[in-house]
Amino acid sequence: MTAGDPTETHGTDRQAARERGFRLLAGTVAGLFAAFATLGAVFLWYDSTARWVTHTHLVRAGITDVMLSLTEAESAQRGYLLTGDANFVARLDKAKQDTEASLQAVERLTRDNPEQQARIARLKGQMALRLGVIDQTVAARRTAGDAVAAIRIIREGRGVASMAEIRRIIAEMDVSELRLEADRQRRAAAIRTLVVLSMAGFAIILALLFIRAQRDLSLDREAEAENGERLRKLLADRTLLLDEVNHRVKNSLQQIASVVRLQSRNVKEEEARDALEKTLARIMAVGRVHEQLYRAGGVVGAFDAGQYAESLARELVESLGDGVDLETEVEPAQLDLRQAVPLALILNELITNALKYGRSPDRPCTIRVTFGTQGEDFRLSVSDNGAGLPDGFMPKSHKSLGMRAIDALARQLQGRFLVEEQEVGARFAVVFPRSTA
Amino acid sequence: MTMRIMVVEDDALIALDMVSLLEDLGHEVVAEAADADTAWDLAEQGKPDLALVDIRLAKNTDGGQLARQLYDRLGVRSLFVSGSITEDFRQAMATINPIGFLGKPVTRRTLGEALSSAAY
Repeated sequence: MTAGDPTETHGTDRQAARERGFRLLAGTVAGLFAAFATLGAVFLWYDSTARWVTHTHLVRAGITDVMLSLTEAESAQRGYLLTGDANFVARLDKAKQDTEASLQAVERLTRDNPEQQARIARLKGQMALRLGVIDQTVAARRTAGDAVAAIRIIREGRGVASMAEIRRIIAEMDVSELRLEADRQRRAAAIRTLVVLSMAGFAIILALLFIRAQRDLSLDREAEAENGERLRKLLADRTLLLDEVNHRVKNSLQQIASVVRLQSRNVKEEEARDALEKTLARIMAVGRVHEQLYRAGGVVGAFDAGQYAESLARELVESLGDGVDLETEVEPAQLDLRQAVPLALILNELITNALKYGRSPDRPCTIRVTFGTQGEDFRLSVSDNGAGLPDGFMPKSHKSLGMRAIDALARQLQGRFLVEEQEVGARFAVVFPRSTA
Repeated sequence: MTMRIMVVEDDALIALDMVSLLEDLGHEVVAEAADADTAWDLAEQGKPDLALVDIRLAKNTDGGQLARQLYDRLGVRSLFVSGSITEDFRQAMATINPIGFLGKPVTRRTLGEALSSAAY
């Protein structure tokens, strides 16, 4: 293909468009993947922040538990001091265990927070003091049998002081956790907003992609429809043009034939009229080629030589040869368009000749026409059963136009004109290659 | 048998040739026209036995329409002679009982055969 070939340019355009399309698709997929990964990461972030908020709640609940258990221990101590009932001792032991467990839980939960750990260390000391005082009072009440000694120990004020210290530490811890909770909640809210925005963004990207794909598809469909319409129009134009050209060619042939026929009617000399009649026959032979080509319909460029030979032979014999017997043996064969007219003219000359010279007065005339393949060649032959050829017959030096024309046309077909002797009559043949490439 | 024939053909020399051929074949040419309107006037005046009609006529007139008019109003059948006779045209004309469709170029023999089928 040359550089200026429009189909080539078109092909390159389409190739480039395909590559662009592929790059766009790869970019889109990568973008979607990144957007999806971002969305997932933001969501995980939100999840962990929310878990920290819950963690703060747990710490605060643990702190409250410590305080409740300690209060329960105080209340059980008071009950025992007042009543001396051993049940209160059991309640006291239980409350002490609970206090220990709650404190351990808070200690575990705040392992990441050094400030709280420091407070817990202080808290442990104060609690040991407070519980130690409670144990002393309980022991005094049990030994003395009344509350007097125990009350004296209480009045010393050590337990109250440490309890006040414990309340202070607990309050500090709670405030600290409260601050943390507020911080964490704020962050969680911000991240939740981010999650919502990311999801909205993702949805918008998907929607845009969908709209774009829809538009591309409809553009494609439009382009396709336009293309089809253009091709249909081109085809219709072409058909119209072909019809027009065909019409004009046939009309022109008719004009030529009419003029020749009118002229032949007006000449007096036999020889001149004969020449014009021959000319008319040659024009008609060419006209028939055209007729058959056009009738082939959609198949332009193909010419069935076998069918043509058969019908031309029949027509010529019927119009010129009274009482002549025609035998044909033809193979259907598609000929190159350029070979059609020379072959038609050769056939016209050979049959006209056979009808003119191939008759013998002592027997009925038979003309035999064959056309078929012979190796790499086509072979057309016309034979008669007349008087045969005159001695020393040489077509090239023959003075008749017919023979010289056949020889020239055979050469145009890159073939050979053969004159063959047979027992009865004469046989003429033209052998030419099947393709003239 | 001799028939009275009208020749409708816009090319003068082809018309002349057709007239000669028809006379050679022993028929009488009663009218000649190059366009459909003139042909219709002449056909009304002296009703021919049949019409030899080219499809594309002078003054941009249409031989198909003329033939339809001739058949519908006067009962005159047509023999179409044209360079391009399409299958669509054949089908469109089937209703007016044409004598035939003859492709150009015309020979004495093809014309004679087409007319012999009309000799009723």
